[in-house]
Amino acid sequence: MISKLKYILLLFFIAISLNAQSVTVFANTDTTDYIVGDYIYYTLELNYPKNTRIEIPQIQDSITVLDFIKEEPVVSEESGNTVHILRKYIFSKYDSADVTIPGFRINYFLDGNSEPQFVNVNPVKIIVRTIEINAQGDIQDVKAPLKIQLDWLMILLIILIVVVVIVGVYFLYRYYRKKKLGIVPQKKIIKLPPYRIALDSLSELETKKLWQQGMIKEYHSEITGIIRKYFEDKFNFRALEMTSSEVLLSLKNINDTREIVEITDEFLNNADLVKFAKFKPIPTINEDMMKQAYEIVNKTKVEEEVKVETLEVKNV
Amino acid sequence: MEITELNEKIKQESEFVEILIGEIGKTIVGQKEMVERLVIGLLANGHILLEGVPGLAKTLAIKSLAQSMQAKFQRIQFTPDLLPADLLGTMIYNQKEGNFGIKKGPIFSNFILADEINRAPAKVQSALLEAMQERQVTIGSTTFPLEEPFIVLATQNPIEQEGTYPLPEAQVDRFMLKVKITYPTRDEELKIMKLNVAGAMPSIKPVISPEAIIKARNLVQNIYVDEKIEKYILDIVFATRNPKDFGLEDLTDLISYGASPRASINLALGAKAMAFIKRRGYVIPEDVRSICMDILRHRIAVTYEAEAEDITSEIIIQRILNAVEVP
Repeated sequence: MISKLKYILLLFFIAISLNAQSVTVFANTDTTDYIVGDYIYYTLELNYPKNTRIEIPQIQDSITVLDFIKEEPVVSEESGNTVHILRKYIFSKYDSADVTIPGFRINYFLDGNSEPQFVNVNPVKIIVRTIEINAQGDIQDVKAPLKIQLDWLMILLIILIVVVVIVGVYFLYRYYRKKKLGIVPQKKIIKLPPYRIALDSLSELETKKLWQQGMIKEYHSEITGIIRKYFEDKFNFRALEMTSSEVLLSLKNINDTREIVEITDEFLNNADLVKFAKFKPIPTINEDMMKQAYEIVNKTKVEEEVKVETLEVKNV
Repeated sequence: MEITELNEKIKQESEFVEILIGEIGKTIVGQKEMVERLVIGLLANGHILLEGVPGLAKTLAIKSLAQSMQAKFQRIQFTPDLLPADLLGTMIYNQKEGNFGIKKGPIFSNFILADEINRAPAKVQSALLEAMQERQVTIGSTTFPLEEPFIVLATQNPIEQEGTYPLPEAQVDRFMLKVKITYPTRDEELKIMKLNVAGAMPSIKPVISPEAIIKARNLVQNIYVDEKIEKYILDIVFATRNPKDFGLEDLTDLISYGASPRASINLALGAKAMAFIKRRGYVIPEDVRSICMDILRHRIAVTYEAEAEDITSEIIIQRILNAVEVP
C-alpha cells in the first residue's frame, strides 16, 4: 500500500515538474467572420519557462494566406518562473473565402540544452465575406448622413442669431421711417461756382506777393494753375493735363470763349516763357498777368447762385 | 549763353530746316510727320524705325533727304540669306599683290535704308544694330569709324509676318524713334498720282551740307531744358513703369514692362530737336508731347491680357499723357 502511495506521489511530482518545464502556444483571431478589407487581428499567446529561448519564425513567411499589414508591440509578463507573451499581428484579406490560417512550428531551447524542441501553433479558421448587395433595394449612401446633436449650445446660438436679425430689422425700419419723416441729420455742402473758386484763389495769390519776393517762376506756375483749373471746372476739359496749345485749341471749340482766346494765348505764352525759358519779365508783365487772369475769369463767368448740396451724415 | 541770345541764334541757325523740309516736299507729297521725324533723327543723332505698308514713299523720303544734303545714301534689302559681311564689308584676297584687302560694305554711308529689317536673321540684325550703337565697324583687325552724319532708317512691314525674324526688344530700344506711316489723304494721293503720271519728277537740289548738320547738332545740345520739363519727362516715363502712382491702376495689368532710361534720354533729345525745328531755344511741354508717341511706342511691352483686349502701347501712352499733369 505504502509502495503504491509512493509510486503515485512520484508520478504526481514528475507531472508537476513536466508541466513547469512545458511550452504552450495558442493562436486565435478577434473574430471568425470578416468582410473583405477588414483588419484581422491574429494573436499568438505563448507561455514558457523563464530560462527558455524561443524562436518564432517570420510571421509573413508562415502565414501566406493573408496579407500582412503590421505587427503590434509585444506584451510580455512574468509570473513566477513562467513568461507569458502576447504577440499581435494585423492581417487583411481582399478576396472572399473560407480561410484556414495554418499552424506552424515554434522552436525552443530549454535551459542549457542546445537540442531544439518545438511546439505547434494551432490553425485558425475564419470566413472573409464580400459586402452583401441588395440589388432590389434603393440606391443609398455608403454611410448615412452625419446627424448633429442638437445640444443646448446650438439652440442658444440659433436663438441669438434670430434675436440679432430681429433687432437689425427693427433699427433699419426705424432709420428709414426717420428718413421718410426728415428726421435723419444731413450735412450741408456749399458748392462754389468755378469763377468764385478762381477769383478767391487769384486774390489769395495776390496777397502772397510771390513775384515781389523774387519767386517769379512760382508766381507764373501758380497763376496758370489757377486758370487751368478754372477751365477744367468751367468747361469740362482736362486743362491741367494739356499743353498751352491744346488748351487754346479746346477753348476755340467752345462758343462762349471766343473773346478770351487771344488774351489766354498771350497769358499762357508769357507764362511758358517764364516757366521754361528762364525769361525774367519786367514788373508790369507780372502785374498784367494778374489783370489778364481776372479778365479771363470775369469775361467767362456766369453769375450763378451758390449751390448748396445736402449730404446725409453716415454715422447716424 | 543767355537764353535770349540762344533763342536768337537758334532762330537764325534753324532757318535751313524749313528749306530742307520744303526741298524734300518737292517729291514727297504729304507725310509731313515722317519728314519732320527724319529731321529730328538727323538733329538728335538717332536712328529711326519706320513701320508702314509698302508704297508709302519711305525709300523716296530718305533718298530725297540724302540728295538734299549731298550725302551718301545706300538702300539694303534685308533678306533671309543676307550675311553680316554683305552689310559691313569683308577681307578679300588680292591675288596680284598676294595679300588681303578690305572691301567696305554699304554701311559706310551717311544714310542707310535697311529695308524690311525683320526679314534678315538675327546675326545680320545684330551686326547692323551694333554698328548703329558704336558708330564704328571692325573688319578683320581694323576698326573704321562711320562717317557723320550716320543715320539708319529701318523699315518693317506690319503685315506678312510669316518667315520674319522680329527684332528683339533690346534691339528695338536702340532706335530713337519708331514712326508709323499711314496712307496719304485723298487730295494728297491725287497729287502723287498726277506727279508720277506726268513722268517729270522734280529733281532735288542740295540745300545743306553734312557739316552744317553737325554744327546744328551742337546747337541742339545747347537748347535749354528747364527742370520742370525734365520732371515732366520723368513723370511720363515712370508712369509707364508704375502707372498706379499716377492714378492709372487699371494699366498695371496691361503693361508687361515700361520704358527704359533710354526713353528718358531720347525724350529729352527729341524734345530739344523739336524745339530747334520750331525755332526756339528752349523746350516746352508741347515738344515733349509731340515726340512722345514715337519715342515710347516701341519701348513699352503690353501683356497678353492687353493684347487679348486689343489694347496697344499707343493707347497706353495716350492714357498716360492724359493723366500726367503738364507743368
